[in-house]
Amino acid sequence: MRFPPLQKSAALHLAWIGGLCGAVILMLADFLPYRLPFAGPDGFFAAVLSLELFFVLLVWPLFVPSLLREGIPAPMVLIEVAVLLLFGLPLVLIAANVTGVDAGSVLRGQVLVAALAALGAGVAARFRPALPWYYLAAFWLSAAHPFWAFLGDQMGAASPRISVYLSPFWGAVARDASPAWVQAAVYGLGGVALLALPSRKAAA
Amino acid sequence: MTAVLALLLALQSGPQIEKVERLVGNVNRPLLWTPLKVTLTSATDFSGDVVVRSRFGFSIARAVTLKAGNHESILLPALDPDEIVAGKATFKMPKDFVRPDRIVLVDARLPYAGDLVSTNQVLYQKISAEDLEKTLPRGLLEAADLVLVKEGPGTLAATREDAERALGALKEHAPSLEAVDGPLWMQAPPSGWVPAKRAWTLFFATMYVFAAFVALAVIAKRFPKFGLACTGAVALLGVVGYWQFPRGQAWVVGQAVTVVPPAGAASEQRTWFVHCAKEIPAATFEFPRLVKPIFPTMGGTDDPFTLRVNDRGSSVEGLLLRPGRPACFGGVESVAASEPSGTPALSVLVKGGEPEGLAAGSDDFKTWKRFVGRDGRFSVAGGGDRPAGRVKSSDLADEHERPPIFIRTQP
Repeated sequence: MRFPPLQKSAALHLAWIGGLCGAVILMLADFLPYRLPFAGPDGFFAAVLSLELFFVLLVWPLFVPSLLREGIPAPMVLIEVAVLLLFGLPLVLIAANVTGVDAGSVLRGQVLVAALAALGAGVAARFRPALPWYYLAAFWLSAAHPFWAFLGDQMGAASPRISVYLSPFWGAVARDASPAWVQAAVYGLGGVALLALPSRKAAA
Repeated sequence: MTAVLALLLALQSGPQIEKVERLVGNVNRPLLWTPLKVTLTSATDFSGDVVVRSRFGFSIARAVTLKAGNHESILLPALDPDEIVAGKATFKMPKDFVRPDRIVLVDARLPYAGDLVSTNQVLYQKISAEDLEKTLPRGLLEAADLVLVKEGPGTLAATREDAERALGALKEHAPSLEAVDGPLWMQAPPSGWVPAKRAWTLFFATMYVFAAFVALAVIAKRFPKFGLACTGAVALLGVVGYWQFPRGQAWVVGQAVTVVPPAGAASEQRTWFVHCAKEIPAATFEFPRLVKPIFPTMGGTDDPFTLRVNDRGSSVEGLLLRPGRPACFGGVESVAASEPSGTPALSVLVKGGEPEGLAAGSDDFKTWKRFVGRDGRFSVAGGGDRPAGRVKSSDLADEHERPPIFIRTQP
């Protein structure tokens, strides 16, 4: 298997670092006329983790086809995920120190990010035409389920208790560790399984 | 019989509190230092703390080493003392207070010191030169209205006539930092981010994205063979950035207020607000001078801590800090009067008790106006906060000082 040429992924790396750092600068530099409530020290780790999840869920799958065009085998795309996590780690560790979260929470969050990146890569690599459905599912799980639960909390609407085990952002910031681990296992295994599938061209 | 003797010896082991004297007399001034002279004796060698428990909920401790059979007198600062503990010995402070209008401390070396007789209005309290030397420069005699001395700091009064003249000229009790100060707490900085962490995070994010752009989009594109090295360099920059990040969760905001009286030495009142972004169950802070805790209300604190004093500075141990619940400490020292140069950011002139100018409504002036008196000038130096390094703590991420305040009082 060929090792991916990391230096050719400058656009991906810059998008990742630029997205994370740009959002942090926007949160802290008082550009806005008011202070963002989630940009306080209590919520800073959750904010940075959510930024990472946003990127790997919605932006990263768009980069996968171009990586594959370089001739890199699909499973080796996971090396790129590791590089992204390495680039993001300083900001994550700073956020963890600011909020005062323990190493276990940091590890849990990063494993979930890696798992979701694997899932996005798997869908983009093996079922590219299904990407719109992937985005619809990501939106449904990320936004609709927490909103449904919010309505349930505020207005008594019945909402499934399993939502926290499905919604990536909710699971990542939940106090209980199990939703994040369950999601990481399910999405991660799904992603790895998809990447391990033979490509349709090769199968043909 | 042997067992009984052994039991008696065991009971007698450890220090005994022989005598406790209040240096400023049996007066009740709970918001000001009322130093105690504690005489200890011990049948066996003792090394440990003598602790004064305050009714405000904290303790003041001083380490003492006592040889078997020796007597030792130690001076302990106290704020509204409740009891004194040394080893297993406990001494409950009596509340047989007298309520004079004036407290006058008299240097025992003065020839007329023994002739002065206290009245209901004036309490004369003799103090030895040695105790005077140990307490007066540290601001421990602030409860006294007048300190008559033969030489050195204080009011020089070689004769009894001088003493009476000084007593007659007394106006109000000289203002000092008090253990409860509501207006000062209005100046408490807001909670939230540790300033150094916020600044460092912003700096790091800006530098990181800039360096990544230069390395990956400029250098790696122009010199492709260095592409992998550039990727590694960006990762290394991230590691170094985190390495340099201030890890502590506490920060301190200090302010110095120099008060220059018409005659005598100037004093510097310095306050420190201690904040934290994350709960610290037992923080320790070392201060360069003797400090007293300053509470927002008479309730003091529900979370006991220890103020450890030594000959020079003091440290606060076992302080529970929670986000949004800062602590405040303050201390005084004599300094050489030097007015800050440059144009003040804020200036108030007080004549006959009436402040002049719009700045009279400022929070700074409201907090410190009692130090200005009826006639004087109050000014706050221009410029912003400055970094400082006076307070030491392993939990400390940042210390900075607000612009200093200068007060010149006039007769």
